[in-house]
Amino acid sequence: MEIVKKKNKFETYMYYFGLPLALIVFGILYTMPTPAGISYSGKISLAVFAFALILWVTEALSTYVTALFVIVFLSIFGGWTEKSTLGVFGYNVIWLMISAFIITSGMEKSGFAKRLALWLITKFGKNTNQILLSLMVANFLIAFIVPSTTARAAIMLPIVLLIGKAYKIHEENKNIGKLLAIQGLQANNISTSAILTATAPQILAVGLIKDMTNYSVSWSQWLIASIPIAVLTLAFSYIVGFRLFKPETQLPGGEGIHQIKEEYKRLGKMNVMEKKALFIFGLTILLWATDKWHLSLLGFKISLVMVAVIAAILFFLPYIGILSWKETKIPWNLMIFSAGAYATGISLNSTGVASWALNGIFAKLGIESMSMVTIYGIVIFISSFSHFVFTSKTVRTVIIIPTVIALADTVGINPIALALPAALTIADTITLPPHCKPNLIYYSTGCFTVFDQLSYGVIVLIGKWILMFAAFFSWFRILGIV
Amino acid sequence: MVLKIKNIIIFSILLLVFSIPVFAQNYNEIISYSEKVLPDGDDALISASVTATSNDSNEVYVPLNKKAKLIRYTITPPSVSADPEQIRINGKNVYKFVMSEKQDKYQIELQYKLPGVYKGKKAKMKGSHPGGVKTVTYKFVNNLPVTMKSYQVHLYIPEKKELYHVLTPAKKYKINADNTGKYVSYAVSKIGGYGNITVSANVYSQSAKVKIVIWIAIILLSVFLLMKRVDVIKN
Repeated sequence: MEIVKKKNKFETYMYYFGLPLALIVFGILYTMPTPAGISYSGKISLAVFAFALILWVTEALSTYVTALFVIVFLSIFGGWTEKSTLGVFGYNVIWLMISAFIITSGMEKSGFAKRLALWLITKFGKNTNQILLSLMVANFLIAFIVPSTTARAAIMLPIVLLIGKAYKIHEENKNIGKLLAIQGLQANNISTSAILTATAPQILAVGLIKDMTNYSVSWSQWLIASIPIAVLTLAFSYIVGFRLFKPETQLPGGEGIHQIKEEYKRLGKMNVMEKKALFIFGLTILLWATDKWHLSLLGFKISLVMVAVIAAILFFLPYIGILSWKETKIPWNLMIFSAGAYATGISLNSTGVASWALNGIFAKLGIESMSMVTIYGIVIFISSFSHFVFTSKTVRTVIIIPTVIALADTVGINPIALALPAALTIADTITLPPHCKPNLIYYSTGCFTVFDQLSYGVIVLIGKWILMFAAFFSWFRILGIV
Repeated sequence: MVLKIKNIIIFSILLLVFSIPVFAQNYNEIISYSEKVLPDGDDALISASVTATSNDSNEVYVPLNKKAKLIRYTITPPSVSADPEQIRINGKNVYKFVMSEKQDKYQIELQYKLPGVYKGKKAKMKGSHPGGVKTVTYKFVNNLPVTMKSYQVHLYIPEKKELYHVLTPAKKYKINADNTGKYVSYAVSKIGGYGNITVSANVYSQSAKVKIVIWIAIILLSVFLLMKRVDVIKN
């Protein structure tokens, strides 16, 4: 009840009506005849997804309780097999999160993360705005060297948490906490769209375009086409963030930048524990960044998640490590939430509901008879927001890119004019926690609600859609894409 | 004596090995085979549409399940042949149609009954799951030693039953519906000689009692929650 009192009027009404609404929507979907294109399992997955989404957005129940409901409902009502549903807890994203929290605990205990955060604040952070900007820039720059959105989120998480601690985001400056986390995940995903190699599905998209149209998109062509849109979207995200969540203070923790500087000075020289933490963290980043050369350099490939587990082992190892299990802070409630959220998403994919929904939308719109500009607008909108039903970027790429190319062929448009801009939206997965792994990692900070992320994300994506429209009439024309 | 028996065996094997391709060459070509498998009680009523070219002896062989009972057939263009003959070749059941022309393209529409397809078996499901789920399996075997160039099957779901989910194939199937009902569609570009295709789906009928219980629970819980949390709105 204490939590409820902190909500504003709209949030209070959402809390009040959330659970009955979720139950009624579930009941309607459960009892309605199964649509022609999906199975009974698909219908149940859809019902469970709608039920959970309403509860996560309205916060009528704790997110982890909803996640437990998801696991039970999917199994009992037949949305997904019990084995598959429970198996999500063994997915690499959960292990990655556990390992990331062990790394964070080690970094925190050593004091190195604090030193890094304080250095960042004192060096670049004259005020809150600049700190947030520097984090956004850091996110953008590491996208060039670390080819995984998840790895980059895991790298940034300890820094975000430490800056958050300096700001006391859980006690006083909650809006700053929201900005740190949501802008973090948005910067991660939006930066990804600028660099072809920043995530594997974008490379897959280019491969599909090559195979289906015989047109090769080079790394630099992708960068030139996407960078203005990515940078402007980041700028838009930065501005919108301050409108939605006005920072409570411009000075860290309300204590003033001088105190932070003093604290940084008091740390003195790096101690052995910090050096050990730096070594482990540095090794982790090195292994993540050199992913594609593992086989030639080491003779075996170490996956993203295994690098994180190795780092966790090193933190616990006698003589090398600095951490004991008791000192490790793993938020298990968030792990359960992640497992439930991921289960809903994957069950939608595996039961074919996601592709059924997408094909249905294209068919209902009667897109073939529209003008080029309208088709472009609809395709970009659908490809950008399709992450609501597809949690996997790879699945989305495999379904959307060939569909868009086929559509372009049907209506007699140059396929590149639709397929390349659509490919630039593959990483637009910023609206809900289960939509991609970085979202789950940032959500695990406990700084923001699902509704916070949804509202902020939708606004930014609409902004990006408008920018994509502007690019259609300007930048893409100069480059000869459209 | 032993040497003689050995020579006879070797000769027989060689004869068998070399006779198969020769025999295969006498088969007709099946360009496409599509079938609709519809429920008829526990049995399946199958409508197959076969496009085939007759061989040099004016014959068209069509693979057939040994339990199948042919109900009717039509041939386009109309053939002057006698009724099809059910024969066994290499231990496999086929229908032999004798057409009026050799090396000519024919469209054969068959309707036959296959017993027990929709009887189904209790679905093998582990852990929590709804009760009363049955597995329906339809297996098509290309009884001919030649490759079938394309094959498509529509496995219809019995009336008043839900398609719970598709077990086989794991991918590349489609779920759709027409006036006849809901079906699982699966197509392959070819089936090799003696190859087979299996389509297997779990079917389920949602209990009306469960639906009523769920709605009662939803209404009671919703009313309880709205009453219990009313102070949140008032405050």
